[in-house]
Amino acid sequence: MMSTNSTAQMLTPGFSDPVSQSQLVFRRLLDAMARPGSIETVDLDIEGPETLDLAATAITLALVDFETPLYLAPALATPAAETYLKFHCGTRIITDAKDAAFGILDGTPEDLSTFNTGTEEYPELGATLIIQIETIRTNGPLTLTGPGIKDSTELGLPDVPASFWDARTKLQRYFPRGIDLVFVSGAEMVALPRTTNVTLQSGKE
Amino acid sequence: MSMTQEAQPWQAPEHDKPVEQVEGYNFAYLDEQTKRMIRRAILKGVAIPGYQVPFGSREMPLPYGWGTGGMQVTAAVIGEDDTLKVIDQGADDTTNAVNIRRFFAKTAGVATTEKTSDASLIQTRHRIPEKPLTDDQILIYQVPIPEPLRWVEPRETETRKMHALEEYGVMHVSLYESIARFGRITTAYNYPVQVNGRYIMAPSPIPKFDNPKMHQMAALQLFGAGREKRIYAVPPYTDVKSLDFEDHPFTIQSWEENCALCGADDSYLDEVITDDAGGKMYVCSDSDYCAERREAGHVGDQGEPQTPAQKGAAE
Repeated sequence: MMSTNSTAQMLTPGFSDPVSQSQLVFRRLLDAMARPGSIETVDLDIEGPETLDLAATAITLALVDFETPLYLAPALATPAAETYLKFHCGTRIITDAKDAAFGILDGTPEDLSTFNTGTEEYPELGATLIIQIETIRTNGPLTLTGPGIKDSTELGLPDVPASFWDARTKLQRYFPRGIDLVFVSGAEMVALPRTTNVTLQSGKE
Repeated sequence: MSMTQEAQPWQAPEHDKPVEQVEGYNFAYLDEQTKRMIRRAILKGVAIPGYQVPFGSREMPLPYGWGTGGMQVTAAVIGEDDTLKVIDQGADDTTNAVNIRRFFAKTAGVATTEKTSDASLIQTRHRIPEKPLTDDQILIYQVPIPEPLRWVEPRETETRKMHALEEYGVMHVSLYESIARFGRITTAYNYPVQVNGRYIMAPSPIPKFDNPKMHQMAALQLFGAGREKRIYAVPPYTDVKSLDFEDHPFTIQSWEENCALCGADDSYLDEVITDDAGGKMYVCSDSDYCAERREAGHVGDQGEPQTPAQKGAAE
C-alpha cells in the first residue's frame, strides 16, 4: 500500500483534453518535420516530469503507446518520469537503445549508431529521437537543405557539438536507413528528418 | 400507369443541407490509438519522401475504393480549427466528395468549404486543384494502388526489394516498350514520378497534366491507400520528377478547345456529351476554379454572363 500511495503522489496529470491536445501536438510536429528548421511551439500547459521539457512530454503523450518502446537517457530516467510515461502512455521503458522506436535524450548522443536505423526494406523502423537542449536559434551557423526547405534555411543549435553533425552526415550515406531527430527546448521544437542536409559554416563558432 | 406529378416548390437536395455534428463518435470517427498509429506512419512518410509506410488500415463505414485511405489520413490530421475541402475528379459536388465532406462535418464538426483558397485541408480523388496551393495547406490524396511497380512486378517481396536497392530499370523498360509500340509514352494518368531523386512513387490516378504541380509544391502532400494499407508523403518544396527519356521528354495533355463555360485555356478539361447527335462541350474539371473565373467575369463560348454588368449588356 505504501508504494501505491507514493506513486499517486508523484503522478501528475497528462493532457487535460487528450483528443484535441494530441492532435495539436501532432500537427506542430508534422509542421516541424515537413519544414525542417522551422521552430514550432507547443502552446500547452502540462505538468510533466521535472526532467522532461514540455515539448518532449507533449510529443511523448501524443505519439507513444504500447506499440512503441521508449528509451530514456539515464539522466532523465527518474522514477517519477518513468511512472508518468508508463501510466499515461502505457509504454514499455527500455534500457537497450537498439530496440527503441522513440528515445528521449538530454543532449546529443555520443554514438548515434546505438539506435535503430531501420532496414533498407523497412526504413520506417528507424528511431525518432527527441533531444533536449538549452537553446534553439534561427540565425546559424547551421545551413539546412533538403526536402521541405525552399532553397536553404539557417538554424543555430549551440549545444550540439560539431562532431555530432559529422557522425550524422556519415549516417546519411545509408539512406533510406536513418534516424529522425526532434530537438526540443522548453515548449519549442525543431525537427531534422534523415533527409535534411546539415552543413556547419566555417568561421562561425 | 399514369402518374400525376404535382408541382412542388423547389427544395435544396438533401446533400446540400448543412449537417450537425452527431453524438456518439470520437472526434473524426477514429479512436485515439488508431490515430496515434496513423500519425506515426505519416511522420515517417514525411521523413522518407516517396516511401510507402505500411499501416494498420481500419474498417471505415464505406467500402474500399471510396477513399478509405485518404479519409483515415484526414481523420488523423484534422483538428477543430481546420476547414476541409473534398474534391472528386476536380469537382466539389460529386457523390464521393459530398459524402466525405459530410462525414467529417458530422463526426468532427469541422467547417467545410468548396473554395480552394479557404481550405486548410484538401482531400482529393484524382486531381490537384488548378489554383496553386500555399504553405498553410495540406493536400491529402486517395490512392487505390500505391505501388508504381505493381504492373511490372506483382510480388510485394520483389517490389520492396526493388525499392530498397533503387532497382528501377524495369520501370524505364515498361515506358520504353510503350514508345516502341506506339511511338510515345501512352500513360496518361498515375504517371510514375521520382521523389527527391530516390523513390519512384505513384502519384495516384491524377492526370499527368497535374504531375508538374507536385514538383516543389508549397503545400505538404500526404497519400493514403486504405485497402493496400500504405501511407506516403511528399514534403513541401521537394523535387518530383516525372520519368521520361532525353529523346522523349515528359509532356502534359493540351486541348485545342477552351472551357465552354469560363473560357480557361490553362485548365484540365472534361469532355461532356450534351446530346445523342455528337454534341459535346469541354468544361473545367476543377469546378471551383471554373466558378471563380466565371464570377470574375470570364465567359466561355456556351457560358452565361455572371456579373450584373455583363447581364445588362446582354439584355
